[in-house]
Amino acid sequence: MKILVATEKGGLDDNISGVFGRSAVFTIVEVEDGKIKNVEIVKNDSACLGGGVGIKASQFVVDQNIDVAISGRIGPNAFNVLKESGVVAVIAEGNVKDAVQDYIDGKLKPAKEPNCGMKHGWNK
Amino acid sequence: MEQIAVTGGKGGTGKSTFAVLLALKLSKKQRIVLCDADVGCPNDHLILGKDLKNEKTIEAEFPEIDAEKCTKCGKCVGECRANALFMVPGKPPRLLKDLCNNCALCWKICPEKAIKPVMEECGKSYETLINENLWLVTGEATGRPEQAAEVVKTTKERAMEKAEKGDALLIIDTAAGTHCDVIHALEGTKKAYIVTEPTPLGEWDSELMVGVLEKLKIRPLFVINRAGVSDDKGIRKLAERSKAKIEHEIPYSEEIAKAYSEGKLYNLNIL
Repeated sequence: MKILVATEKGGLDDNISGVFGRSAVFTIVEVEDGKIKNVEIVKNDSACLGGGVGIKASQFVVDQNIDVAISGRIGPNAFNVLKESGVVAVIAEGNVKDAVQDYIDGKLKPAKEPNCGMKHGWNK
Repeated sequence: MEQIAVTGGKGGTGKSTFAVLLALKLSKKQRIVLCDADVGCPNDHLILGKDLKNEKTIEAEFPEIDAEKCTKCGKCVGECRANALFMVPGKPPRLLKDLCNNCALCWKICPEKAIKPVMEECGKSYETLINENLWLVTGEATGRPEQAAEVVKTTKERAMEKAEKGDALLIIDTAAGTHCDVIHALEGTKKAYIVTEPTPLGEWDSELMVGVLEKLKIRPLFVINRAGVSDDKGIRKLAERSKAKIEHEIPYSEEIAKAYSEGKLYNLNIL
């Protein structure tokens, strides 16, 4: 299972970013048999684009075969395309490692709806 | 046909007010077409106290994807600058219409010619007679902000045609800002009034506009509205630096504010 977390600095000790499409880096965590196997930090190429960054970031998530995407906020465009692509969207706050562990343990549930409007990350 | 623009960068400085007053004043001596190109919230007709007439629909081209022809190569998704296309694995790309700005790139680059443009409404334009020498041509965006530039272009074409036919001077009232909608409205004009106010924000945005006009090779002129509301040294220095004349100064007065609030500004002889 591959879990992508929207982050600013990246890594397990970082906190979950409050924005999805405009977060600086993505922390991609590979989980096997309920344990964290590998952590990779990748730059989010959508962070500074003009518009539609939720879509662009979601396309990245889908192309990387990510199963779960965790962010502090997820807008309507990103939410809908992630859902359509079969990616589980999770809204959470706090430490990256804790959130990943909570998801593995079934304590974090998939989001039922987006929790902000379009252009939320605009003024970040 | 000669065209001049009324612009300024900052919002709420009185661009529309000045454009209307200028059009009214000049229409005493010559034929004028005033084009309200602030298509997000056109309001010149409100200042003039008139209802909009002669409505026409404005359409723009949107991509339509032929699922049969599409080979799911993803080229259009990768190239779309507006990020308006998304591809769920194994399915043809899907358009998020709200984000599309009708740039035509996707149907031009599709190797399979599986994308074709279809026309859909994105706005309206109007032509309203104000007085025997003055017509108002108004644009109104009814779609998403991303599609407003198309509305500006089409409305301006209607206004130019009207001015050409009537041998009239075209005055274009632009939106605030320095974005595509404003640039489309400014293109082709020889001079532009930068309507501003003596505040740090007014100064900042005017400077951005001076830069835009320089690139478009349009001569800037300054109009200081609410003159006297605060120190105007900054604006004066900027005008000097950009070799622009300060053509009008509209005082910060109770009389003007009162006439404005009553919608009877056109009665005042300000310019």
